[in-house]
Amino acid sequence: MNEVLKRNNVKLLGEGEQALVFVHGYGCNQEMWRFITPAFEKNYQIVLLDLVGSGSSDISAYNKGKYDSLKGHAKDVLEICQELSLDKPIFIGHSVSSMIGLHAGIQSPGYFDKIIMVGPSPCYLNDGDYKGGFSKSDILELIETLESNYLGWSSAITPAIMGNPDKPELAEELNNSFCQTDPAIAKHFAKVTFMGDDRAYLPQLETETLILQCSSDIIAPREVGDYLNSKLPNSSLKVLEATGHCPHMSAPEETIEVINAFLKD
Amino acid sequence: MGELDDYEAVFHSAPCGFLTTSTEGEILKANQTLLKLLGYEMGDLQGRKSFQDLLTIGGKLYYETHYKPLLIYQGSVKEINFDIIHKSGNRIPVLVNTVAAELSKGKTVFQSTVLDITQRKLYERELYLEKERAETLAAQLKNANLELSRFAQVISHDIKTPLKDVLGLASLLQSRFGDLSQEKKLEIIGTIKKSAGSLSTMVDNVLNYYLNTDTENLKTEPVNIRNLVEDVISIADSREKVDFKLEGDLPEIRTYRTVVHLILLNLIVNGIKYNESPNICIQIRGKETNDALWLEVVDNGIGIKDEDLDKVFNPMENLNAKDRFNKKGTGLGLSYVKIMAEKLGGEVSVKSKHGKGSVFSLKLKKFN
Repeated sequence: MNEVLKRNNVKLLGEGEQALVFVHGYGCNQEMWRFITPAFEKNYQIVLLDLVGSGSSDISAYNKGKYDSLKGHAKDVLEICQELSLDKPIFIGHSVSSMIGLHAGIQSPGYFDKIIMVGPSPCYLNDGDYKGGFSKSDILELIETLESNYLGWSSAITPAIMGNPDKPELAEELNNSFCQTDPAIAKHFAKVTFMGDDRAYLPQLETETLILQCSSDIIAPREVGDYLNSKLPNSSLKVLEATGHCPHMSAPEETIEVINAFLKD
Repeated sequence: MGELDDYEAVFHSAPCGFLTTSTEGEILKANQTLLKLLGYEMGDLQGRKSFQDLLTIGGKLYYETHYKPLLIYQGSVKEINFDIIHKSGNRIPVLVNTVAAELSKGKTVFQSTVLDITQRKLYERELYLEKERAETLAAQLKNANLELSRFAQVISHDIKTPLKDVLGLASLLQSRFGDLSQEKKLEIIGTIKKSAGSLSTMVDNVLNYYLNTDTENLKTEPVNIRNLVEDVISIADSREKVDFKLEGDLPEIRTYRTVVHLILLNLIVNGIKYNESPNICIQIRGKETNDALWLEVVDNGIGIKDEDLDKVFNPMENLNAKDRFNKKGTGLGLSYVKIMAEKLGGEVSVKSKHGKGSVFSLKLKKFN
């Protein structure tokens, strides 16, 4: 398999012509889309990928310099699209990957047909009048929580704990978790995600964009959705009845319906 | 008591917290054990608070980005460590196991056990800190080992040059014993003795110094820098005709003799080795300030390329420069000069023009 596709553990599904490129958010991997992708398989080509550092991507490709900004991930996504020779694909990003879509759209103007942002936020930190929802100490606390959680629940320590060469499946079982990430990478990615500020880039995105917001989402509050909608040149905002941060998992039907309406527009 | 009452009693007095929430996290039911752990009455929570409300902000983020997606994806999660907030504001570390259970109406709820792990958490933190401590120590040891092995290489390299002279002079004496005048023989023997003597002292001092990696175990002494420089020159390289110039302040200061000796030997030998000029010239210039003595070793050697200037003090960077005997350097000498200069409270830097020569500046702290 091609290096780029292998690096990001790219999976292809579906029978359609136009491609829907699904990019997962912080903490998970491409599996998070499985509740909604079946609805699009008939009419679209589905491109699934794991961001480098997440899921089954090539962890050794995680370079803190390159991925110190979301632009590094955006470059990867564009490389994948190029490798697959996608024509006018549609980008669907969850959470932090919405901003990866923003950068990809700016890096390659006119390339994406449409961009769908699920639970996006251009900046999680409060800054003057801008209410991102979090203070710096909140984010540091998340990183602390992450660290302490990885003490008890870590892919890095399971091989040591489960170090039983006779029963590799034991370690496999613990490791094969949906949210598994190397702890050091998880920490770095958390910093890049939650400490970043992409507000200045918003006016540069010409692509038609749908902002999907949940009615109650601690990670991306309503004001942030409104802010995005006012700064993106070509966007519309749709507030879902679903709550939480992962409507594509907790309310797949509603999410599919709204995405479909936007795609058919 | 009916079976249902029994069940209720067991539910409430179970040795772990039980919590039922909606898929949105809204608290539907909690047992007495959990309420007691949290310091709340059922009325405070039921329909009023969500599980997320009991978490720290970091925990809330973790809930949204890891816990809930996992729960939806797998239908269950195990051993998630949250800090939950007691009514008083105190944080209690707990271990949460949750299953997504479908109730008869087709409605899904999340059912969790919540276990207080305050004691275990302390133990875990202790272990974690111990692990960090052990890792730091291991890294220090590894560095010390590396330093020592590099040091051994540098030292053998530095000792070899004067040793070769001793051997050369001894061979000369042997092969031409009959031709040489009595005075010449005595002069050669004198030089051999002097070189061997200072080598022996150097080895002793160096061993002494590096067996005790800290300068704490080495004593400072008054060192006459002019004499020391002359001493170094005498063993630096006697086969080459080198024009040495000593300028400026070269006073007596309190410092570590062996270390300064080694540093100067390295700098001067380098100035001679990496030198293609027919007339090698090495200047040693001193400038004394209140608390330090600045020494400059100026050579007219091959100099250092701009792109290599940052690298000269890195261990193992030999920059491909060939010395006048057409051998590549070991790349160890200057890294040691830097380490040693810093160990005795000084510093070393270099300015150079490729093809013109180099100026090494050494700051020596004056000890009291």
